[in-house]
Amino acid sequence: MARSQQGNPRDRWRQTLLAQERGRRRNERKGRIYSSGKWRPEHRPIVNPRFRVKGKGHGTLRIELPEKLDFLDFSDRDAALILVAKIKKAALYERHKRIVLDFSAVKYVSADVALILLAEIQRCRTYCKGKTYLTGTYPKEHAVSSLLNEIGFFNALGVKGPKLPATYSSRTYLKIERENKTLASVADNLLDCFCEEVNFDPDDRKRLHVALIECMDNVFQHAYSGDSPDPHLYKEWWMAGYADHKEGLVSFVFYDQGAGIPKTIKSRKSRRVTDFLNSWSDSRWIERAIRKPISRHDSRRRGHGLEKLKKFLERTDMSGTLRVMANRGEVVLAAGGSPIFNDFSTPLEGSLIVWTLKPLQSA
Amino acid sequence: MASEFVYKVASEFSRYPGGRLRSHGEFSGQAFREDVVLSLLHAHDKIIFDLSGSAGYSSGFLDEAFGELGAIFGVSEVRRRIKLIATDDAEAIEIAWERIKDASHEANKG
Repeated sequence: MARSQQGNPRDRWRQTLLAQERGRRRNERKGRIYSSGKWRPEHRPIVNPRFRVKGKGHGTLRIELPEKLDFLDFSDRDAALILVAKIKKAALYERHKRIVLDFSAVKYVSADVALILLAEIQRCRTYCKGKTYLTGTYPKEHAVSSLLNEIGFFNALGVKGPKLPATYSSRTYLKIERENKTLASVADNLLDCFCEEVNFDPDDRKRLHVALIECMDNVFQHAYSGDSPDPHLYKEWWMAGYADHKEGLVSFVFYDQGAGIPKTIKSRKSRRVTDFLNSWSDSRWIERAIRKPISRHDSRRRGHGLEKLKKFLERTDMSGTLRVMANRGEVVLAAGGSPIFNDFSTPLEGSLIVWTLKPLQSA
Repeated sequence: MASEFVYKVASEFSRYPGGRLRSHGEFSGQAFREDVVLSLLHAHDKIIFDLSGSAGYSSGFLDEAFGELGAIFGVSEVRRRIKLIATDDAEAIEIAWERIKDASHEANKG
């Protein structure tokens, strides 16, 4: 089938993606999964055998989502995290038979909140296995519908995405990956999808690629504890890239539902050290982990992974920020600037890492 | 007579080197060391590893793939037998040698 050579690069790119999607669905019907440029075994989440959803399901719970779901504003951040905790509690602990997520009031969802919501829905569905029916209402805002559709949110709920007007043109593009292994090809494929938005310098692209693999490897080694009784999906991580054409931004997000960087580090330090550093907030622990290697092995060979997160930002010519949020802390780094520390009352389960880039306009 | 062998990691192992251990996923540093490096060291006196052309090397991969050799053979023996080159990733070479030295140092201490 000849591909049209007409139209702008973005249209050709979308046509390529649509063709890939058709190929993926065709092969999925045949029992194969097409992802990251090749056929690979279907991803199978690993549940914690220590956790079981107990009790008989009862009743319907309607959860009304707030107008704005974002992490940049403190109150919006709290609202988003309280919402995620509510969904988890309702599905995994209170055992409602039916949970309805009411999106009717939602006017804005940022991509990183959408990713965390999606991760939570996927976790709840994996554990509940049809005993709790998770569903929702469609958002009224097209931008919200479009973003949730692209992230696979409606697919995760097992419903068809809403139909958008033919004239609607999304301002964002989003691609998401989810795995429980260190797969470098997945990171490379994600960066490939945004090569038109970001004209990466080869060294920059390599550093960002390495930073993403470090995140995967860190999750595997540190994020999830085998002794935990919590409803984790072991070693699971989610990774997304999104481009906001209107704002001229590209972001890459990495998320896991593990213990969180501060908790993980504190658990590896001696009692004497943690008592001495009792006054340190979670944001300080995060900044310390990024700035210098920390390793439980007291070995210089280990603990270099988080350093790589900021290395990319320090060496690129693009303007951008690195935001690392975990437990009750957040650190925001910009190249050449001092870190900004934020600490919150509502904790984030796991760790969220966001690189936001404003690619320079090419000549 | 010392034989020198050139091994191109990107084309002969993987363009997408992975994480540290086999259990982490495919094309790990541990797999590279155990399945490739040690066999080559057994067969050849000197080996040139060309790290060019890959998507990038994580610190865990480099530590397991090359750093561990410092613990097994010692840094001077590794220097004598192994050369690392890369036209597009000088950082990876620098990190690999740092890990080799660190591993050798820790092995001598321990």
